[in-house]
Amino acid sequence: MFALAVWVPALLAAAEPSLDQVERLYEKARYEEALQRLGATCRGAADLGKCERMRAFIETALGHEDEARAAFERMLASEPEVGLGAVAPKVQALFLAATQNVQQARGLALAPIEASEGWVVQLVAAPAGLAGAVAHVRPAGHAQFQRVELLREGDAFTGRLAVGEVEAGPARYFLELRLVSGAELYVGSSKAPREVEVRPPAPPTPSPFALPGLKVEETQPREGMPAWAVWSIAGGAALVVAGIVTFVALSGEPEPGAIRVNIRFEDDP
Amino acid sequence: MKRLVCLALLSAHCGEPLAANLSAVVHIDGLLKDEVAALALYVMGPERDDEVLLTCPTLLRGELTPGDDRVDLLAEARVSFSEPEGRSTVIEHVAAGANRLVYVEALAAGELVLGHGCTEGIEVNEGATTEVTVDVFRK
Repeated sequence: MFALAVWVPALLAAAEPSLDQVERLYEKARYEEALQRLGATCRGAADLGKCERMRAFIETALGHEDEARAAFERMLASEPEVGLGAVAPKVQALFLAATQNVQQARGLALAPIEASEGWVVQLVAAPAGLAGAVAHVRPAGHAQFQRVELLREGDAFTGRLAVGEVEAGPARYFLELRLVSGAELYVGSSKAPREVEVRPPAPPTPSPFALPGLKVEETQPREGMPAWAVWSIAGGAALVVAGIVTFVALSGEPEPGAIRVNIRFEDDP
Repeated sequence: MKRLVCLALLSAHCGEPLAANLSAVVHIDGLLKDEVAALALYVMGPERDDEVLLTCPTLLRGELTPGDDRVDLLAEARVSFSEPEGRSTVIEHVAAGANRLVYVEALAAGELVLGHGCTEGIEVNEGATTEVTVDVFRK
């Protein structure tokens, strides 16, 4: 038993893409080689957090800030509580930006749902860095969570869920989020779900003409149309035609623009 | 012993000062700009067909190429490179809009892609020319 306890970690360590070797290459400032040794992805790495942290440091050293921030985001998705300690301001800034992105994602919550046969499940004001979202929703009185894929619609991510009969009360849910950086994280879980308010459907808006005491009686129209009505209809029709003509004239293809691209090489002085 | 100390420092995230050596990275196979014969420039929109946002890291990692069906390729240009004229290229007839990306490939004489670079978050206004700088580094 003891031998097994000694052997298993050793075997796992041997199977890992050697992070020690990557560290040594990084120490020698052989950043490209270190990145190559790290591979295209840290997925499946036994120590995902460490792998992404190494990647972030190397990408920073190579000047690849977007990639470094993305690696930090994936690291934070895997190890939310991890800190960096004392590092250079540039690294700290990238880490903070990644932290903010991940925290913003973790702070997302479903908007209140209006009760009907088909629920509209929505994340409003979703950050631009959110690439995909899936909500797992359990209406009151239901035993199972139902999976709802949310698709981006402007600033929101929206999905629809057929619920059938439900009891009154809030629904439980948890979210699976995927950021543009590739970071994948959960908000809540099936064991510790969040709650979202389910509101009764709004009553129909009363007609502004339905004033108390005002009684509108329907009467049969008289034969023929008065002159003022004919002219009103003609004038209205003319306005509609003029509007359509104006819209067509103005809604042509927008004029394109241009981009001047200036090239700067890495080995420029 | 020195190696152990270095490893300990790295584990404590103190290895980062090495980043200051970035400018000292030397390519023994020569300067990139001296090997570049042509540039391929691509302008892309931010929205992919599969609802995922297109980003520079995706292109630079080679997870997606400008010719991929999912990419909203708005314009492309190919220019011969020479110093200093080849440093600046105007890509015309780009659909106006926000969050455009410019991806550049630096090609050797034999069409080999030597390096690449990318800039994102570009706003193109109707009838106007937006100026951007793309840092090209060895692939």
